[in-house]
Amino acid sequence: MAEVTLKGVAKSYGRTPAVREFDLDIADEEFVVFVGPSGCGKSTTLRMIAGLEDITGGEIRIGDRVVNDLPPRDRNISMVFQNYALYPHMTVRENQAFGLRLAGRAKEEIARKVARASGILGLDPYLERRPAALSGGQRQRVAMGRAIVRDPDVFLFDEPLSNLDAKLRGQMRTEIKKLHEKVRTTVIYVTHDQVEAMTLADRIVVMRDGRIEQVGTPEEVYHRPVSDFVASFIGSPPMNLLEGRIVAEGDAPAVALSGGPVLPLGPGHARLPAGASVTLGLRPEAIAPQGMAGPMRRPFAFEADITLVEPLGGEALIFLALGDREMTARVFRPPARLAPARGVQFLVDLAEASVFDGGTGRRLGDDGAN
Amino acid sequence: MSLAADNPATGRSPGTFRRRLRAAEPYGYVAPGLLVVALVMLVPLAVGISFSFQNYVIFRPASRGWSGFENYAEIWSDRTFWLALSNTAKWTFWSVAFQLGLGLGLALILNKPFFGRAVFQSLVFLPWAVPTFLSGLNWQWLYNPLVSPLPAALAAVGVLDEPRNILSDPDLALWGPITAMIWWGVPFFAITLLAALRSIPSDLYEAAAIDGATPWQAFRHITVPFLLPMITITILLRTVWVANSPELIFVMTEGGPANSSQTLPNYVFTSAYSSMNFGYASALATVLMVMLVIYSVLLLWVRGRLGR
Repeated sequence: MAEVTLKGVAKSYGRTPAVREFDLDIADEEFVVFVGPSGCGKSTTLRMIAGLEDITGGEIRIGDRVVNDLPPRDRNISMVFQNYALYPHMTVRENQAFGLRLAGRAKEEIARKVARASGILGLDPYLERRPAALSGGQRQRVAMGRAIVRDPDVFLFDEPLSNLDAKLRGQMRTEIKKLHEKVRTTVIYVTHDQVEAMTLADRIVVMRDGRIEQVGTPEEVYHRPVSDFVASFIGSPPMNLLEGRIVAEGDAPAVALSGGPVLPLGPGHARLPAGASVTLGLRPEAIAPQGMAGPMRRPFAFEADITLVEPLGGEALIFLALGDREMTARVFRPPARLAPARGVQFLVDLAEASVFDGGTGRRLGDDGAN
Repeated sequence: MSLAADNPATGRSPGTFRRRLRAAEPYGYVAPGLLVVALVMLVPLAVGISFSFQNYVIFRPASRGWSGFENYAEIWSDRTFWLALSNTAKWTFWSVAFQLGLGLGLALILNKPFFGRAVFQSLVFLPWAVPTFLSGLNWQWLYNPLVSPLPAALAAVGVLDEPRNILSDPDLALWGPITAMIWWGVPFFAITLLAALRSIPSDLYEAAAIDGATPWQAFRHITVPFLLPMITITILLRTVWVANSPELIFVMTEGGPANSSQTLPNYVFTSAYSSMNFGYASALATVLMVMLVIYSVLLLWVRGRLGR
C-alpha cells in the first residue's frame, strides 16, 4: 500500500548523465510501465527506486518515507529480474521463503504465505524442485512468487518477459495482469516492448535519452502522442510519418505531402502558419482501400499503388506507395483477392491524424476539435 | 518392426560380433594412452609397494629378499613414525587452515573493485611462482636473529620471550616451515576462490538485498553455498600436496631438532637416502598413501552429500 514519488531524480555515471530530472507521481495500486528503447534510462530509474543504484540528485519517496539513502532491504519492495535471479541451490519453496526466513518470521506464517503465493501462481507441483529443473515460464512464476510472499509496498519488474518465447510471453503477460487484479499493489514495470506497455499499464511513461517523453494512459499515448518519437515507438506497425508543408486551402490549413496529395486539416490546426514544415502522422488502421474501410469521421480519398500485402489471418498489412514514399495500412478481415495493384483508391480518416513540428518533432495544434 | 535389426534371410539377428566390435572400438583408441599412464604411474607404484614387503638396504645387497610384513611391524613399533605422523597432521592441518582463511579473505577483497587492484592482484599471486626451495631458504634466514629483524619483532610483540631462532626450539620448530608453507600456498586458494567468486551472478546478490539480506546474510546464504564445492576440492588438493611435500621441512629444519619437526614424507626421504633403507621407506610411503586415499574418498563423499 504505497504511493511512489520521484522528484527531480537524476543519475549520472561520471560525467555521463543516464537519467535527468525525472518527476513522477505514482498512485497507490497503480500499474505504471516505463517503456523506451535500450539505453533510455528506464532500468536505471527502476534500480534507483529499488535502491540498487545510488541517485545523483533529487528525491524518491515510497509511501511517506524518503528512501534516498535506505538500502534495498529497508524499502519494503520486491523485484522480478530479467534473468529471474533465482537462488539455484534452493528449492522453489526455499526460494520463496528466503526473504521471510531472513526476516525471522514464524514457520507457520512462512508456510501459509508460500502456500498462498504458490496457489495463485500454480506452483504447487514444483515446490521441491530446484530452478534448474524448471522451464523458463515456471522460473518466471517462481520469481513472481518470491516477490508476492513478502507483501511489499511496491512490485518492481525489470523486463521480466524478455527471455521467454513469443507464445509464453503472451501467456505470462495475461498472468501478470491477473496477478495485479488479485494482489492490488503498486507496480512499476520496465519493458522495451510497446505491446506489454499497452496491455498492462494504467499509465505509460515513455522515456528517451534519460528523460520522460510522455506520461499518459495507453489511449492517450497511442492516440495523442506528444512527439513523433512516441508516435513511432508506440504501436505496431508504427505510425506512418510523412514529411510535408502547411499550405492554405480555403479558410483552413492543409498539409501538402512532397510528391503527393494535399490533405486538409481540421479546425484544431487553424493557427498553423503557411509554409511551416511538418510531419504528418497517420496510424495504419486509419488507412484502408475503398470498400474495406470502416466508418470514418473525416474521410479523404486518394489514389496509390499497392506494392506488397502481408496477410496475418484476421488482418492484413498493405504496403502502399504514395508518390515517392511508403506507407502501411492495416485492414481487418481482409478479402482473399488482396494483391499488389496499381492506382487503387484509398480512404484515410484525417480525424485520426497527428501533426508534428518538422524540426522539433513536437505535437502541434489542439486537435480536440478535430 | 525395425528392418535393420531383423534379417529375414537367416532368421536370426545379424552382426552380434560386428556390434560388439563396434562397441569395443573406442577402447582401442584409448589403449595407447592407458598404456603410457600404466607404464609411468602404475608400474612404479607396484614396484614401490613390492619394495615395502622386502628387506632392501642398498649397502647390504646380500641380505635382500622378501620379508612379508616385517617392515610394517617395524613401523608399528617405531616411535619416530608416530611422532612424524602427528607432526604431519599438525603441519597439514594448520598449513591448509590458514591458507584457506587467508586465501578466502584475499579473494573476497580482490573481488571488489578498488584503485590499483590489478597490481595488488599480481603481488598476491607472486609467492606461488617462487620455487619452494628458495622460499624455504628465505624463511630460514628470516628466522635467523643474526640476519633478520623478524625474531626481534616477534619478541617485541610478545610471541617470543627473546629474539631467538624458533627453528632450533623443539617446541616451535615445526611452526617455521608451517609459516613458510602458508605464505607460499595462500595464492593457490586466492586464485581458485577468486575464480569461483567471479562466477557467482551479481543479480543473485541484488535479489538477496531486496529480499532483505544484510551483507553477512548474503555471504552466508549466497557466497558460501556457491563456494563450497570449490572449497572442498581445493582443500582436498592442498591437503594431499601439503601432506606429501617434504621440501620446506627438509630445507629449513631437516626434521630437527631431534625429530621434533619430522613429518612422514621427510622421514620417507631420510630413510631412503640417509639410512639407504628402501624397503622401510617404501613401507612408510605406502602407509602415507593409503591414509591420503582414505581421506580423499571421505572428503569426496562429503562433497557429494553437500552438492546434492
